[in-house]
Amino acid sequence: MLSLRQGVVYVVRASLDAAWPLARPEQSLLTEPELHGVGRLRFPAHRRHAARSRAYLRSLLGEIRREDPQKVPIATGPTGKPYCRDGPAFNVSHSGGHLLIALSRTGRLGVDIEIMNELPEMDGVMASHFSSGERSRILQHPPGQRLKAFYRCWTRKEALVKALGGGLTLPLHQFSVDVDARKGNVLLAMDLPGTTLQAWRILPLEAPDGLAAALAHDTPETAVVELDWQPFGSPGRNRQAPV
Amino acid sequence: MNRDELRAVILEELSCIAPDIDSDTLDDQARLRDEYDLDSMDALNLLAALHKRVGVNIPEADYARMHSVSQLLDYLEPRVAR
Repeated sequence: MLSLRQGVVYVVRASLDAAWPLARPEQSLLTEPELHGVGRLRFPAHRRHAARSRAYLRSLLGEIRREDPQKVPIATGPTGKPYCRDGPAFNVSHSGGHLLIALSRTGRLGVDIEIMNELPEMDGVMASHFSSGERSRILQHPPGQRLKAFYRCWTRKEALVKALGGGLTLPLHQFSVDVDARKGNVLLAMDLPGTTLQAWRILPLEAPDGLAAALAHDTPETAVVELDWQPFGSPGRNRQAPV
Repeated sequence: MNRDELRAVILEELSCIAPDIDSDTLDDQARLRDEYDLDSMDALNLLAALHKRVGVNIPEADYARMHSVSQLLDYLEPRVAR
């Protein structure tokens, strides 16, 4: 039974392409509207990943809330961010078959994982959406390292955007992250209206080779705990990182 | 550039970003995130590519209006130099 401690942010990892680890089939954990949404996806891999992402989330929320996972009331905010009205806070990201679910008892959370595919428009995206400091730091890397630096920057920024729930309409260049740090708070500057630098932390997360990942939260926490769902069938091995 | 030419440009750039998408069978009304699993980075890449190809800069405030090829066409068509 997963129990969330106050002041701790949990990040649960799972492989979406590994054998389904729970006795209950993933489809049976989803609601009718969720099954309908999954069914709208045109490609089988997208449908599998979407269904399993939501099934893992519901399974975790059901354990934490001690209720039937399918009955956990997940609502959607005005900008499309899912949430549970009476907690816990959560956020989900998946890419390349890797899933991250961030959870905490309170606060706002955003998590992002991205497979580092080649980006034909990396320069254009940087010019429009990264701060001048972020751009110049990425361009200081040798050409062969810039894509990784770009994705480190992007996942850190996207994690905060997801935590704030504003989507891409937020002016991404109005806050800056440290592109290169591998641990600790990487948020350097914050000019987004309605919030402060001190309110937020953005933390790099461990990710498999070829992926980048980050977490943003405004929980006055003492630790971030990272848990691997696989291969134990339930959250098991953990790494605790005081911050 | 007329609407058909613009559509061809959008599909060409979309196929670079999401090679799984078959442009011959793509439904212009389909929401790209909901039906083709395009994520935020895919969306920014597509908009940056279209900026380069057709010269229209799409401000962030307008992103929420562009979920499908059809909506992209409606937005870009009156703004593209003829």
